[in-house]
Amino acid sequence: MTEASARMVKYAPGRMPSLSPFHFTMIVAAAALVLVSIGNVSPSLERLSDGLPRMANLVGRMMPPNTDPDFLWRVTLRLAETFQIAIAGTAIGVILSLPIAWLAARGVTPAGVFYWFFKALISLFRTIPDLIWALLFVSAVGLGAVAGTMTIIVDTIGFCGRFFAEAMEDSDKEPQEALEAIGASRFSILFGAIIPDVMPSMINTALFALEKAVRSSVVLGLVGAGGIGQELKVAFDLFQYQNAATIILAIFIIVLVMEHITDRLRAKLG
Amino acid sequence: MNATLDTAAAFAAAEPEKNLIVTEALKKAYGYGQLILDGVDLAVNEGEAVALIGANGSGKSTLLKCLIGLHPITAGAVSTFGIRFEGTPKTREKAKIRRQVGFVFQNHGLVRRLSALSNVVQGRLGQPGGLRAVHQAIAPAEWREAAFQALDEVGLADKAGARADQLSGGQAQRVAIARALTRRPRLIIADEPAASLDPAAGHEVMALFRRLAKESGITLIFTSHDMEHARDYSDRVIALKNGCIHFDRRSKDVRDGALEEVFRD
Repeated sequence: MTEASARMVKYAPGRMPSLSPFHFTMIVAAAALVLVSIGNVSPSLERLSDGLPRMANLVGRMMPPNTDPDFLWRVTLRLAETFQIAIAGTAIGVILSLPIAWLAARGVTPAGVFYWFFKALISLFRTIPDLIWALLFVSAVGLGAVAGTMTIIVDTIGFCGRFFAEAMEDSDKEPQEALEAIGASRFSILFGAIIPDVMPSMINTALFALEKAVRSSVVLGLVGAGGIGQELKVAFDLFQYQNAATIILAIFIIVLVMEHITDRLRAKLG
Repeated sequence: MNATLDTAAAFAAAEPEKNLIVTEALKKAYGYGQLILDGVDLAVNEGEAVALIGANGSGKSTLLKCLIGLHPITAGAVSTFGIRFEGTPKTREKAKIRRQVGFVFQNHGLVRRLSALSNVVQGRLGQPGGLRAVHQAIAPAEWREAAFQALDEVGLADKAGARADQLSGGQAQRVAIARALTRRPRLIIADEPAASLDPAAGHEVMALFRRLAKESGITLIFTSHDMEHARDYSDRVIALKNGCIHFDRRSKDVRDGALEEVFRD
């Protein structure tokens, strides 16, 4: 072995990182968990071969999609309602997220050590799935769009609250210190230094929240929280598959259009 | 404990009615217990320009922040504008002190995405009703005009609409000076205002500082590593070494040998 090779063996990192017994055990356990999960709940080849003809049959019954003008008008109205749920829910959610994120942002919060309470509140809003929130609100305020809007509000606070708080925590500290030194209040510092600094990130997050809200508001109707989902449920319940096909196509188009608009806005702001 | 108390300090101490700032055996330690300031006694008169010099870690920046209650004091006391406090000033006292202060940081501390004019208007944020100073668009006309005038004074009237992140280092620091000046504070504190600038821009900024402070009768305290700046742009140089005042002299009386000693271990 030449001197250079010997030095390389001594100092250069190996091709593969060495694993401790603990890390090796963890990797084996994780792999076992994945394999057991796949074995228990993923579709078997037998189930797939049985299901595919049924799926083909269902798609066949969906064709052609219903294009009756009265039905299309009804779908349009339901789509408009879905949009309204998404837009109203996101707008109110974003506005409410702002103070909650401020209170939850470590190093910025005026709540001192109690910032964790607001962090926990945001986590609660985020970790409970939107369909469960929808079920709760339908029970509380009844069937319809109001329950859907309330669901989107809570979901948006969970989503935006987290990202707004993280952006505020990472915001440039020097302007904040400069304003604090001249006696600016925490509230003034929020509006004078923090929000201008994190505005692009907040707008980005809000646009993602809107995209997410449009997708969510489509399915909320399945549990009675208004919007196009309610129409889709009725179509499936009454075996009106051609109606269902039209609705699914409409949902596809609306989500696609929404993503295109938000992508363009993001590119413009970036 | 002060190693050398000579003419400048004696002069300031002899006129207590003119004292804007007085520290009494000021001590400051951080969480790990090491004393950063170890018994600093000083008095600064209204209208003086004072340079604080010292090696890294000598306590210059800490001293500046203690003067306005940005950092709590471990022992001793500070009196700023006649408001005496130990530890941390009470909320109302803190507001009263800071309302009369302009602070300029080494890296200007401007809000990058706002215009130069908005940043200067923000110099009013500490005032009563200051929330309207978050942006020039909603600021009262009088504040907006004063901010523009301050920008004009630092030679940047044509940059009023430029975003802070589009300005050069020297321009940004001049905007920070305009922000400190806009409400004509009694005291401007500057923490190494020229450290991040090239030599020419550094001199330009320091000369501007000195001129504007002198014209307005504002007391100026700045820290610097640059001996030329310390001597040329101040009336008085205070050297800190190991948390104590090493010397406190009229700028014209400070010799090179004395300065070298400050930076020697």
